[in-house]
Amino acid sequence: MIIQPRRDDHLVIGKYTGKVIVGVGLLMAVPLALSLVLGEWSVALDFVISSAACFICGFGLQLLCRTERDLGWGHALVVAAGSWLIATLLGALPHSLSGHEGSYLDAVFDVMSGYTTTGLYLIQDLDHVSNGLNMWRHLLTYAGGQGIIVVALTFLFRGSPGAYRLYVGEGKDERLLPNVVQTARAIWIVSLGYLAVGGLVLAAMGWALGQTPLRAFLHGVWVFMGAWSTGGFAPQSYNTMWFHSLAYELVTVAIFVAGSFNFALHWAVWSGNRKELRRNLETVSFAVTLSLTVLVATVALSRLGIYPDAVNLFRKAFYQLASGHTTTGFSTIYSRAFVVQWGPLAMLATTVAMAIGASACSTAGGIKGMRVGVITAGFVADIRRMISPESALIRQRVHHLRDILVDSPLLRSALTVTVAYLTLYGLVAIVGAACGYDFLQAAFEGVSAASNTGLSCGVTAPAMPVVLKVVYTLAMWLGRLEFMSVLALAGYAYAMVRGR
Amino acid sequence: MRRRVLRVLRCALLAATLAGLVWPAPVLAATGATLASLGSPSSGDLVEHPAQWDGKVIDFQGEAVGEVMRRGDSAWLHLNDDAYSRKAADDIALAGYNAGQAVWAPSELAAQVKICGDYSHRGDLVHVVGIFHAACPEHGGDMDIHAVKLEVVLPGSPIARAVSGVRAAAAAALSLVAAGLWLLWRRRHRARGRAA
Amino acid sequence: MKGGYSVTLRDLRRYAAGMLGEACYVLVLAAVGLAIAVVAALLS
Repeated sequence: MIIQPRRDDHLVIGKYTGKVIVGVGLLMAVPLALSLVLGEWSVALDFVISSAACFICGFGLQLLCRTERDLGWGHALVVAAGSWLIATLLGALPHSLSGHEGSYLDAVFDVMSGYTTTGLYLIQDLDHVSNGLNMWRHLLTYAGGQGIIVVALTFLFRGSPGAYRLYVGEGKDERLLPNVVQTARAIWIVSLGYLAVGGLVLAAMGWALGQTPLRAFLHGVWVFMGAWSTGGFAPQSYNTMWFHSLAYELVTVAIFVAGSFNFALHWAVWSGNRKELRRNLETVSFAVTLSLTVLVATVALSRLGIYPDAVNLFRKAFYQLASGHTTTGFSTIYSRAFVVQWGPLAMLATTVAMAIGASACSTAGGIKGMRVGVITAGFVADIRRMISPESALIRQRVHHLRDILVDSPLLRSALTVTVAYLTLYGLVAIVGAACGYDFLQAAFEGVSAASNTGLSCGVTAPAMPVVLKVVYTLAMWLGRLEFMSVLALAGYAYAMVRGR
Repeated sequence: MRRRVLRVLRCALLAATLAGLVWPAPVLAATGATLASLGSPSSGDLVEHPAQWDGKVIDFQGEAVGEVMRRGDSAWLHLNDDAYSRKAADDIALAGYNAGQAVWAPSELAAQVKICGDYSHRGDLVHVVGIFHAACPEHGGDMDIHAVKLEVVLPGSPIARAVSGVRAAAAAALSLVAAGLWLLWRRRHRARGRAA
Repeated sequence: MKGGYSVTLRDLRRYAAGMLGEACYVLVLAAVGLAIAVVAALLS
């Protein structure tokens, strides 16, 4: 029997969704301030309108939904998915008002792509976009990388069991510190620490590479945000090819690889446990799968002979693959170059890298190294069992901060989510193919959207079918929140209609 | 002791690697020979058929965007040959993605470019003649054009961005409503805090 | 992060060391990538 949600349930969900939306309105203060400082008056107005709309919704919801109840598990999942959806619809206001989007759907696509740290975009004439809007594009990908719930947890919540449930609803499940609000703050210490160092280094390099100080600073901050959140947005349509510099490329690699680490790993390493970098299941799994996919792509590219020497081969193959594997989506080649120059094998290697993705509880998407590692360990254990005497007790362990026994429940949950991802990848690829695109390109782009990567081989464009825009937007949302919350939201909606 | 030495060595290695990377690569002198252009492909043609144009001398024209990045004797600029580059400065209607090519030009030639396209400017329309590289060996495999000739065909101009009265009114009205709701919310919040 | 949320100078040093360790991990990955590229370029 499906139980219809009661008034009380609506109230508690409305109240907490309202809080998160107020957080989105507060975030808009940053681009608003920048556009005021730089004298972009009409852009500033757009941000005033948008943030006022957020406050009206946010405070309005909280006023309407007064309750003292704390969030239950079901509520938290609904709030997580629901507030991502509403934050996207409202966050698309500045994009839409800027006049750079073909439709409101395009704006929603771009904002969902930002929050979910995907990096695909439909914004047109990016090279003439205002600084204010560019700040918003990159800020929302930075906020989305930590999780907009984490943003709200940091500033607007007091620690309660409900707050922890919200945090889990957003696809994170690591407690860095006993209290969830402290955990959210620890995540911010790591992110802001990197922002200060990474932004400054990139700004200094941009300046040395010939940018004016102001542009070097803004680009430094934006490229940092795009890299750290494994988002892949950049302020120019040329993406990171704009800088034409090996050093700049390497620094962005360092930032997006660090961004793809589990926040719990960061916290362990930053607390002095540096051995963890070598022993952690996720870093080991990432190193292995990255090296393998780089190997395949490099061999494919060297056979085609596009890149004249080893350094060029390295710069192109390693960069795109590392960017794909961390689900960043920065690119130093043109989108169409994947099809025209790289060819099927190298594209396939990139698709596999994107599908696997990086670490759990990070800014990255994809199946995640943790699951790939656990499934591999389970497989190894099965083989060991097969070749051992029947009486032998085989215990396979993996290391993530501590030794974890690979047992059936752990394997089952890893496999379930993996199968869910693979199904999503398959479905999105099939929709792309049904829209008339070449299957390999549809698969590449579909996996890129669903794993929140953002590398494009040219399928994503303002003129692509509306169906595909909607499907990619949903895939980004599902992939980022790891299915559960979105399915809970769908279940909630269903129960409202059909429940008793 | 040994660990300390190891750590110093490790830091030194890291520093040396980084220094080596940042060190500017030697700039090859541009080939000064007079070259006859073999065609004037669009950036779309170049991206779709790189092998066909690789190593050939081409004509290319587009709007300079962003900035000219000077690197010693040469400079990077980015020329967009999309629909926007052919528009008047006050026409800001949408026409799809940007498209263009990166151009590597001697600094004294690149210095002619004064205005680059951004939010408040339509950039100079620049015409170059140069060698196209599908994957430039000198620049890490980037697709680029090494210019030997460069001229500004049409100087850029500011884009007028008017503030809309309707939007200003909407912003004021919405802000008032938002402020009212916030005050109401704060009062309720405080009253509840006192009751608890 | 003991008790309050103030960050001491010692914390900062630990954080910087952590960041450097993470950068080393990336350098190792890049070195592997470069080695693969060198071998591939030599063989082709």
